[in-house]
Amino acid sequence: MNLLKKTVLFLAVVCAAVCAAGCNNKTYGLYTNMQDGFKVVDGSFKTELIEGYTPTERGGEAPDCAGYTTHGRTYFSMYTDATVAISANFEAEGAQDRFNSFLAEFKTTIDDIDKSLSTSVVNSDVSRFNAAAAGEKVQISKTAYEVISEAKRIYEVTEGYYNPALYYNVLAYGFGDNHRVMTKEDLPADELVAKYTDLSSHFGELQLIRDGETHYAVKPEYTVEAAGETLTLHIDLSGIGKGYAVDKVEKLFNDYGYEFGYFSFGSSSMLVKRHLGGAYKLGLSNPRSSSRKPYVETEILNEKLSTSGDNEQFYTIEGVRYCHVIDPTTGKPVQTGIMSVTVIGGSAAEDDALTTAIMAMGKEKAISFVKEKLNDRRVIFTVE
Amino acid sequence: MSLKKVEQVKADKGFKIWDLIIYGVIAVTVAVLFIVIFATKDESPLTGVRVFVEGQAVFEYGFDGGAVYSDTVTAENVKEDDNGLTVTVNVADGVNVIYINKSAKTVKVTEADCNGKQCVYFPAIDDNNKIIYCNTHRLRIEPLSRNYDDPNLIM
Repeated sequence: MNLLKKTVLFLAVVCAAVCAAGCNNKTYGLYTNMQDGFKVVDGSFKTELIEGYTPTERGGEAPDCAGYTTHGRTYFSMYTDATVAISANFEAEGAQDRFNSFLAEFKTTIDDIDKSLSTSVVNSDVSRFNAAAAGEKVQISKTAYEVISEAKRIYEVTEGYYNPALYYNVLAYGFGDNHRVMTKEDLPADELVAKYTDLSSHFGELQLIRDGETHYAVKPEYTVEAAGETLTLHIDLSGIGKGYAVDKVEKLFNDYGYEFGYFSFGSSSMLVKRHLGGAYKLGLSNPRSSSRKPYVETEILNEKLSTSGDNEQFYTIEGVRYCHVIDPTTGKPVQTGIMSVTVIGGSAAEDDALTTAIMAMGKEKAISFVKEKLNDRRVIFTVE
Repeated sequence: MSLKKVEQVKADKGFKIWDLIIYGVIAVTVAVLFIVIFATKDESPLTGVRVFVEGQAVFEYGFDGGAVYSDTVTAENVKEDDNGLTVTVNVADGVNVIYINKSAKTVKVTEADCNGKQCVYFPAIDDNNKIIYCNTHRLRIEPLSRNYDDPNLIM
């Protein structure tokens, strides 16, 4: 065999080995209502387009950014990271003081929301509501009132697929404040799950009352008996709270006139303004890849967005994946085949809750929901 | 080796034209890869990392400056070998083990007792754009000189 043949054979073997190592025969569905403006960068995702999205102008004229540099901070809030980056002319007179003032207000804003919505802070609005008796009227802050109002609205819009009252189900499966390493023996009995789910289905009966500047929440009368206890309806607003915080931080950006930068809350909700080079490039990480490499990329400019996925918090028992998103129809971690959902545009609080709801809908319901109700924002979801 | 074979080898040219083409292609490929890898490399290499638990800095390591300890991570939590440091971070409900490779200037979570072990699967921090976080243990590792100007956002 001459050198040429040997070399060709060698290269063929190398190529075959690389292909065998790199190729993954498993393919996933990528469903989106974006007709263009995105790039699939992972060949294992096959795109299916959903009709209905009407693009809107997002860019506007780019402001002058000569002399701008970028400063950022990361804080810890709501059990996760809150990262804010601002590009501005920090050499200008008073710019640094202005940035420090912004950071102080930013921190206060997200901390106040956390203190109001946290289920683990004893005196938070949500904790006091959860501790109240059935039918009791509880005074709550304006923040809690606004978030619960939005939660109730999205509960209706999604026909209950977003349900913040699946509190006991979340705990039973080892998530939320009851986080622990789970084994098969730890999984809750179906009868118990059914009771928790039954209780959560009464979320729509929670009433909100506004009396001038005073706000109240009235707990539903309904209770269930489970494990020797009488359980009242409890709520967990973590599926909407980060999005709500992003909406509030957007107002701060606008108040301070910051047109460049972003705010990322736990990588689940984001406010994305403008990068000094133009638009930001958003990569959505493959929910089935340990490398966190993106499967799709799109440009983001002056928008808010949220993502949910079954890869954020999960465990596997006997080959079954249990993630932190609960299906309100079964009361168990979602097994609908939807791996991740991203909603871009509109209010981040709404997007936050919508991504959770779509995870639980399953493919067919999700497609029709996106087509009929989300034609003003961009949606991408992946299916196993 | 037979005399005939020896004569045949003597008659052969040192390099045939196809040999030269293939060597040329391989040389060009190596050169292109070299340029691509080094031209696109982050201009500000990783200088070290800081480890946070619940937002509080608990450990810091600079490849030039060495380690900075805290009450949470003391010198007893750090073991050093020829290549780097193994840092054991005990959090309220578990543990994360971090390996800092001094020669490669990379940082990775190698063990954790959280569900899902998301932090273990994060790619190693090898530049100033990457971070690693463990949602369940509220732990975050970020570069000492974190770059907030990256136009690429990952969700």
